[in-house]
Amino acid sequence: MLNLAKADLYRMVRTKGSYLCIGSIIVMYLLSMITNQPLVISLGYSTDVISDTTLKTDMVMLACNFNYYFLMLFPISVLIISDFSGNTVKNTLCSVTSKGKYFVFKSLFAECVSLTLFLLGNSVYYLFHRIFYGAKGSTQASVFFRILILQVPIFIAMISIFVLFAFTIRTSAVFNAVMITVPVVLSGVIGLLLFIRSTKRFAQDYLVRYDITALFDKMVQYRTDTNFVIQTVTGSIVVTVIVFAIGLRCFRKSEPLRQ
Amino acid sequence: MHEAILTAKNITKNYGSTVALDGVDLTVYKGDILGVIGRNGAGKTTLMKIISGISEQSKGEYELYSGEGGSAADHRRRLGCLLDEPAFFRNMTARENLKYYCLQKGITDHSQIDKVLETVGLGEQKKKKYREFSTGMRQRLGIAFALLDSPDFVLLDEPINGLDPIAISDVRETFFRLNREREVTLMISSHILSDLYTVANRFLFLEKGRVIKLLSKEELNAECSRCTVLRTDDVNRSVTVLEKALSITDYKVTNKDEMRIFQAGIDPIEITRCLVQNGIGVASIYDSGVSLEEYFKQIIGPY
Repeated sequence: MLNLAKADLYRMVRTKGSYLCIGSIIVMYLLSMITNQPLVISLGYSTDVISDTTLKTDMVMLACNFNYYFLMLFPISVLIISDFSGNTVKNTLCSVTSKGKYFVFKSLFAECVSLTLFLLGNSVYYLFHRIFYGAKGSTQASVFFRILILQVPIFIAMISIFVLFAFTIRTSAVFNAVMITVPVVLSGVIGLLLFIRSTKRFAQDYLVRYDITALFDKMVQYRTDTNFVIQTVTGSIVVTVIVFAIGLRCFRKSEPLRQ
Repeated sequence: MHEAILTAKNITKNYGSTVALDGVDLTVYKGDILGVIGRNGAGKTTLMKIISGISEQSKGEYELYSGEGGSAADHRRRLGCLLDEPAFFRNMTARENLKYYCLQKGITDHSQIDKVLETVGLGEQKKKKYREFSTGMRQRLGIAFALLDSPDFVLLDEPINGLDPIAISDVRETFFRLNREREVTLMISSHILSDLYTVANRFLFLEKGRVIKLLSKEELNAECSRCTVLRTDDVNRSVTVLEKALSITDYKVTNKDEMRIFQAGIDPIEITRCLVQNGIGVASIYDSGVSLEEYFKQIIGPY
């Protein structure tokens, strides 16, 4: 597995997509730093955190971490999709490792790379925000990093869903199209259920509360609600495990090459 | 008795209701060059995909390096493969692509990248991006990948597709050399049967996923009645000379001035030179019998 990781790192530094991803993260935080305003791709049924004037910009940016949903399409494409779209996966499977180990490695490596970008992006942003705006203009480090850590299970669950879709779809254009469409469709469905009287209660209690597009946001808003935190963290872990198991089973049974 | 590199029993592969392979039994011995012959969709690539571990058989089992210890992963590392079209990362150079696979395999001696690139004639193009490669160059890089890490068993699916005549000759020589010097076992499928006949010493004929024949070169020659017809001014002396000088034992005297040599791998130039040096006049020497292509058509039949 270490050899596979070395090889993928070697390839990542030679791929434009990696730099595009890092560049996008830097630009996002840089613009937020300069304007002292949060940058958000608003989707789903998010809370009022963004307009909450009592919160500092760094905290609001933490609530906007769903932005990473779109940024993480790059590393998943580079690490997984490119192996399938170019059929290079066969070179690895025929003389290096088995299908099962390949899936486990790609899942873990994609999680590690994405998580590194997520934690590094947020931490460096916080550090610079603190330097530029001082203690008064920033959130307390312990509060900021506690919420960041609580967001990690949500992030890992999100990436595991990305990995499952990447192994299933295997084409860059379709993968990007589907992944961009999914949250929009999800919001539409929730909106529809909220509109229908008989499903309104269910949608409010469950779907809106645990809508993945707004979970990062809600982790900031309900940071003191222990029940919500426990339920979300547990739910994220369960989703990760189930999605991983489904992906592994499906990939082992599938034909990895395009016919 | 040679040791078996591959033992496959009753390998069956179904894609939905389509039967791609139907109960294939096969043993490949160390040092074999097995030519796999069959028309499109006969199951050649599917068989190689299963052996390489890319695809899983629906039924049956196979064993690599039977009798030797080690895990399946260890065995896989001793395998070199070129299946279907070569596939590499378009934005990386030939050398970078091979380095990527060296890292994956844990090969620390990166000097062998340059060696295999030289072997397939890509030494000059190693810094060129894969996307700029012609079909032939891509094929050569695929062969270079298959030869990385000195494999014992190499699976090559139509390896000479898109190669120019000189490259075909070079690649053929490379296969011979690997087989002769390192006893590398090769399993090669190709539609260019004249070329496959020159390279291989065993032949597997597949049709609709079934093995219809598995022959050694000698058996194939006998089936094709393939022989070298030799007419000289003294057949009896020719026999004595050829037996002694070229160890030719598989022959038949068919006329008072004619003999037929069935033994494979004897160069007609060598025969002529040998006879002339011994003062025997050679009236004519030529190959006779049906070619591999004609034989293939005979046993497979029309579409």
